[in-house]
Amino acid sequence: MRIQLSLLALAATQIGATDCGQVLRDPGFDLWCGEDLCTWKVVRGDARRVDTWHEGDSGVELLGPDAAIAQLSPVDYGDGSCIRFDLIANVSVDAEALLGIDIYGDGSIEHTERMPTANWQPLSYKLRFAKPFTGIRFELSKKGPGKAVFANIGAVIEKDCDGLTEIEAGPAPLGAYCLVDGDCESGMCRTVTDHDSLLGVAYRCVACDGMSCGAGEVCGVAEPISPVLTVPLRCEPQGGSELAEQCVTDAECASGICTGGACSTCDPYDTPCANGEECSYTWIYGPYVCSPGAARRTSDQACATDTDCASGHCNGALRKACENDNRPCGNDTNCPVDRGLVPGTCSTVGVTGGTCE
Amino acid sequence: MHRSLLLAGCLASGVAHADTPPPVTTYALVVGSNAAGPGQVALKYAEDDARRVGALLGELGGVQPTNVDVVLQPSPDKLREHLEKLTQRVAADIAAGRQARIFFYYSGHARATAIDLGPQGLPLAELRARLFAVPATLSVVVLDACQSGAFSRVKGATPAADFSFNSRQQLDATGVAVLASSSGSELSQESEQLRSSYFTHHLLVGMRGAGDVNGDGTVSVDEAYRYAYHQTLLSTATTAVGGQHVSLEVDLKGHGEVPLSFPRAATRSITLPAALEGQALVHDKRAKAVVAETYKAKGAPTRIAVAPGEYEVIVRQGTQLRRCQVSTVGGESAVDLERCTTEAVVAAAKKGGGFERPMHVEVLGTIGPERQDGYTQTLENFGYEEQWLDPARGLGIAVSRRIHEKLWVGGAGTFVHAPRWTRETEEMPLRFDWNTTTLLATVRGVHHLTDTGLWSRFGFYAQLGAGLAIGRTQLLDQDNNAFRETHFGPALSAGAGLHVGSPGYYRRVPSLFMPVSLTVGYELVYAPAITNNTGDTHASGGHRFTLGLGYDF
Repeated sequence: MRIQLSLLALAATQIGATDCGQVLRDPGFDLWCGEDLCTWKVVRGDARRVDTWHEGDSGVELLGPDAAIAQLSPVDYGDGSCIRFDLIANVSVDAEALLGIDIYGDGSIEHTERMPTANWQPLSYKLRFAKPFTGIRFELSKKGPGKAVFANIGAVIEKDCDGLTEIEAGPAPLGAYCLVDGDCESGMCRTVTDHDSLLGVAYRCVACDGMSCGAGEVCGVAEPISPVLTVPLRCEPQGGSELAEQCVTDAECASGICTGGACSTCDPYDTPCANGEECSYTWIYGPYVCSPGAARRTSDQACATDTDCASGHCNGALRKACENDNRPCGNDTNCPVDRGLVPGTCSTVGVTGGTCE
Repeated sequence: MHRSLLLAGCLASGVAHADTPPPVTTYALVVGSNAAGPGQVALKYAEDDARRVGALLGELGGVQPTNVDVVLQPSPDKLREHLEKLTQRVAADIAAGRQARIFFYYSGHARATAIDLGPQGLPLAELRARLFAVPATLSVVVLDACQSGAFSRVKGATPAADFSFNSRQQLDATGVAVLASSSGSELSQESEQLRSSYFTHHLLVGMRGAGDVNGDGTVSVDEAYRYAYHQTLLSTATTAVGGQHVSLEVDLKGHGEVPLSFPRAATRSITLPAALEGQALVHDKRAKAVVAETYKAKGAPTRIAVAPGEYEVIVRQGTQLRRCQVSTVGGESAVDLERCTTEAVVAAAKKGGGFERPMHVEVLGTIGPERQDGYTQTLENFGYEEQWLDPARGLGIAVSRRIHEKLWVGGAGTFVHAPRWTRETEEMPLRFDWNTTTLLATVRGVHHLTDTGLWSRFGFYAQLGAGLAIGRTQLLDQDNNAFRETHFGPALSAGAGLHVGSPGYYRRVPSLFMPVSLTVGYELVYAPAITNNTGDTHASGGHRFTLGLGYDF
């Protein structure tokens, strides 16, 4: 068994999840998918596209007595702990416009700023966050019958927030960055595989380690919680993961082989293929199999894609996974946003636990 | 009693004459007075005119020089003495059985009832009575004075409305011809340029030969009047005082056509060739005076009698000017067109308004930072950034007309492209382009360092403009959709700078560069036209550097 919890990482080394200091996508509300915002999620009520200073430059108006839009940013304490939030607001006197800060994006608003009545005035707020934190959901909301239009929102990392009270997020959830055990709800802060970190590992909150699971269990990969958090580690049934599912130890996999973070049928070093076949991955962060895509697997042999099989058919559950870390997903919003704020892509990559027809 | 006078041409004047002059003697009394009467301003050229008239009569008028009595700035009593002397000489001739004629010329101030000879005047009634008392067979009276037409009106003769009234039949009167420089109510005018009164100048030019319409070598009273009438009217039509109408009243029955001068008899003359056409001016280089100015029609030569000397004949036709050097020291001389120099007409102010090149067109470029105001602040608030090294720049054209030596009025249209503003998005950046077209009525003043010489090409200008601004904007969104708007508003501008080449005011500058000018200056433009949805108005313009290239036409 090979546990991939790293012994090397001594400190958090993650790369900032921001775009030149900008931590929000589409700050100008320019990206519209039909009549809906592409990157902002309508949380309550409704929102529509409206003209701002010019017909060709859009803003968003919140509709209804209680409406809100939100965007989950991957910003974390490695980027900085001081963020300046700017926007242009047109808020009538009978509307209450609020900026809500939800650290970790778990739905609980830790901090709220109330916006004044404004007529296309620029507003700016500086916010200081307690370390460590992982991901912030920015929520713009309006209450009341009045009008609230927002435009040109920007949230950027600032260097100087001296004197501001820190916004405390409370204990960190699984998969969040941490410094000590006490930062985590689980009370366990360990180094785990982290594709965003320079060293490939970082301290994250986990629910288990190599010593904490009971008989028949293994500390392995559980279902993801949030795209801004790494996939959590919990005690999972031994051998419970099918071919192509994520893993950190061989014991998690039904095949008994965990290679490159996915349950596999071979390992180039420890369990090479017979007959001179090459052991290689089927997709990025995907399972290692012998001669992937070579159609050499015969009936009932394990496969990850149809191209592995001589018959051309690999039976099993279709696997939809994020291209940037192979975590299971239902759509793009389940996937982590990369360092350049480019959204992850969820796509069908192959088959989970497949066998050739 | 025969009243009479002159020019029947007989005079043993030493003039070689082909025709046999009648056996009469002509006496000329020529009076000039610059002196001003009460409430008048002294004249400049009345006495000079008298000298010229006296000289011409002796030269071409068939009058013996000893019979030409030129009297300058006389008192009334002095003039009475000369009139008495004239009467006595004519009476002596008559008594001796000879015929005598008189020519009386007066140049000076006059009113409706008297000629002014300084503080005192001589009543017209007395002057008329004394002249008519001279027992001459023919009298020609020439008056170059204000309201000189009143002389004959008092007399009761019928005033001549224009030349058509003065046919030869009219001239066949009984012995008196009165040629007056103006009508009874007009002012007679002097010309600084001619250094003479308009009337006397043209009368003398006509007598030198320009008025010899039938080409018989003599200029009759009729011909001289015709010439003087039209030329004086033409010359004075554009002056501030207005047109001056020469009048002629005659009572010359039985005298036929009365010759006034004999240019063919002159020993010196300048002949303008048949091929020459245009406004011709004969300039006496030594005397620095214009001796003749006439329009030379194509097809027949014109002979102008002059004294021996060096002359420059300047002929203008369209925009071309010919300068011909002519010497009559050795005898008669004809203008040799082959030896004339040609140059472009020099533009200068005409007397009484108007300019040779009154129109000015200018192409100009402008560059400078666009004004920052609430509108641009809104752009910044919405995340736009002004493109670096992208100043407002534009082109324009201006057309103006000169209304004063230093003042031009007209219009200007300028198109200025303002700096682009952009805002980044996750797709194409938003690109905001805008431009402003201003249509202005302008007034420009130009002051030159000197009137002549090199520094006359350099000067300063100041310009004001007001009019309409048309602002256009275009926003290209992240999907390349274009949103265009047009706005209207007022526009004001003020500018000043250096002017090189002095439009329409070139003197002694090579002709090739005459119409071209260059301006370099500063301009402040204020054109509040472009608005946005948030209530801001952008005043297009700002501080501009301008460069203009102009041409006068």
